[in-house]
Amino acid sequence: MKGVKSMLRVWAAAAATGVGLLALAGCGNAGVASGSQPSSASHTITLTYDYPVGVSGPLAQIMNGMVARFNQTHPGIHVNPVFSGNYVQTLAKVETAIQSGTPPAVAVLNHTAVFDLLHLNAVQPLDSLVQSGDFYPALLQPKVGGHYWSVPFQRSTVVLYYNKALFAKAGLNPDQGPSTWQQLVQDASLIQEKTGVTGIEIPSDGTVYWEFQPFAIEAGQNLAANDGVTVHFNSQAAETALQFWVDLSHKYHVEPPGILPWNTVPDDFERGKTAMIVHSSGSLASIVQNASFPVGVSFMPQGVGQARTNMGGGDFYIFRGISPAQTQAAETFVRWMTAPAQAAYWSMHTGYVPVTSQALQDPQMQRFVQQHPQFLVAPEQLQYAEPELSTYQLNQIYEIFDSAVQSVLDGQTDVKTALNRAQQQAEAALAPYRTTGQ
Amino acid sequence: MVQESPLTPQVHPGPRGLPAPRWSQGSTGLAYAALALPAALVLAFVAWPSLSTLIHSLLALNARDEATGFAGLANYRALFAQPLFGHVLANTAWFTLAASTLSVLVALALAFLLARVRGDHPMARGLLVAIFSPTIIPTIAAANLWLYFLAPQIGLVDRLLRWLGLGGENWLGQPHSALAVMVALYLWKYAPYYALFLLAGMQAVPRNVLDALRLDDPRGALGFWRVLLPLLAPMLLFVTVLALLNAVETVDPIYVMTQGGPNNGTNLVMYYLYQLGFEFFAWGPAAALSALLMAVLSSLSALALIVLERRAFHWQ
Repeated sequence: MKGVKSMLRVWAAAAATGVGLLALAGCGNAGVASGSQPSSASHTITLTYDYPVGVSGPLAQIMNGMVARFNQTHPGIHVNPVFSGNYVQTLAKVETAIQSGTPPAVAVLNHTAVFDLLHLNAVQPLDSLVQSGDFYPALLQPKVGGHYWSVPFQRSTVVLYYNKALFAKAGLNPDQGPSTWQQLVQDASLIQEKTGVTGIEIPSDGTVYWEFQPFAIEAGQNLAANDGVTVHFNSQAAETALQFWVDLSHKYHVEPPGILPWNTVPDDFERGKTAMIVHSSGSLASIVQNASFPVGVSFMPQGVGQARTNMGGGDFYIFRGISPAQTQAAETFVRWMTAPAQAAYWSMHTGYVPVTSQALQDPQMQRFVQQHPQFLVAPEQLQYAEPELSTYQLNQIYEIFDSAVQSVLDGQTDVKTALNRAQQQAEAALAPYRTTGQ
Repeated sequence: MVQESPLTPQVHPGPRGLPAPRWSQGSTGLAYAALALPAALVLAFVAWPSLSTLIHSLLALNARDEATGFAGLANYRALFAQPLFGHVLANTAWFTLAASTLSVLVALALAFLLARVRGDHPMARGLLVAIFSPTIIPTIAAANLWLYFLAPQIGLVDRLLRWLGLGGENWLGQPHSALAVMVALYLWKYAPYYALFLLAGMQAVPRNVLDALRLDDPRGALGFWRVLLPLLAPMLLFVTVLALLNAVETVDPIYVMTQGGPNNGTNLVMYYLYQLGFEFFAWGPAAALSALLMAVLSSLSALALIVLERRAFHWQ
């Protein structure tokens, strides 16, 4: 009996595995059919569209809604939107798909991924698409190898959010955030003294380099040149900025010590646990919606010179290895998504910068910003914004710099040692690209 | 109980003295035919990928994971030169040591307690469900649960602590406490599972040994150290190896809860492997790390099998 039983078990296991494999194979085929090969069943061109969500709020729903509207209004094209995690996870997914020979037709990826994508020879130049729109010039920097490789879509700046109710309670002017680093410290201490609420929180986990960049830029130098191989991690400016971050917690005691996660900082602000936060302008809609107090948004307080900021966010890329018909359909899709009506819609529902001046002039957008003037801060900031840290080996370079900052905030290393080590590690990682040029 | 353990060989000889049933006579061919499919699966999904990883680790790979030539040991050198690698190894060592030691100890205590619970007691079933529910929850779901447990201010843990006058701690916000959380999650998930093995081991101790112990050593202390523990030793060793393997392979809660942070404090070797490949696109060093892990983990697995085959249950 036992022999029969074990035999049955083996067969059952084999059968189950076999079914599982068939199912997997089925998935694979379905993936190919809906992905990059034109479907033979009808004349509809299908496009796979991978996108990330990098800020707070129900952005995936909003995105899927927009894509559904595109599909309704464009018979002959069907776009499959695929939510793929955060920016790093989405890039990993896209790169894996490229390696297996089934790239998505179109994806939103970090604007800064351009060097790595070019190194993989993965994307098509989009010069005509970019030149036919009236995108803000700041959003198109840097041009790499003489071409535009991506179309600006969900672009953001680093801004300062502040709780107007707490500012009023502490006797500060609620119409204006702090305009200098010094005033930031003063306001934060005053609020802590008068209300008992934490002065400020700056996220230091997730995309540390990004929140840090405005401080470095304001202290005199950005973290990198625009050539993909040069970084300035141990500059005097970076040192000044990092020392200021440390001082916020340990000298002025206006920020909780330790490492603050990117995702929980907006929650803390919305719940009135902290009076100010530094975050992406892309989180604006969600913050305004969830906060029970009037939300103030201002430029980053200025350091040595004028107030500056850092740009971030994602662009549309169209991939190599898809059919000409798919490329054309993908261009239609990207053109539609970045057209004034859609760009304005996306901006109003997220807080991302309207990417063209026409989008800002859109009548609905104009009515909207009259009611919510906070949404004008980021577009006004564009003229003072510098490009986001962008190099080859991007994720590794980010990791190197983020670790350096975190090891200082965590009290393991001093500012100078950490930044020098980061510079050295980054130069080693970028060395192969510097010699070959690509 | 013992023979139902998933790693015990499933081939049972017919009861001695009786003639083998008719259908099994001369059916070796059928047996091999039945094994062909599983064997093919093992070849396709275990043997070939392992071999391919080994070969890859010796090739120069570009960012698209395409081979561009022979690299010798360059990938291994590059792996050890990675700025994070030492940090990750240290994290993994601490985590593995703490998680496997504690989980085996907790499992042993649980097994002794469970051995005393009478199966027909009305509470017994509820108790078992309560203890084993973490084990059957998928890790991804469990990790998401724990994210809620641990959320500062609103999480269950913080509220309980505040009730005690403590709290306000951001458990995942500091490298050391975050790694401790990972150890706790491991215990929560795996200790009951290991207890099941140890309970099986205890229940396999012959009745007459227990009866003799009850007479000779009524207080139980000496009997535990001199008799029960040695009898349980092979099963303990097996569970320890299993615990080590599971600890080294921990990746899903890291991916869900911390992504290796803060400050790489929870960056364990399996997560780092993912990072090397899919975030840094350093396919060469990733292949080298896979090959090293394969060597270490398969030696551990082999040890577990040898323990089970040669040494376990020798009293029967």
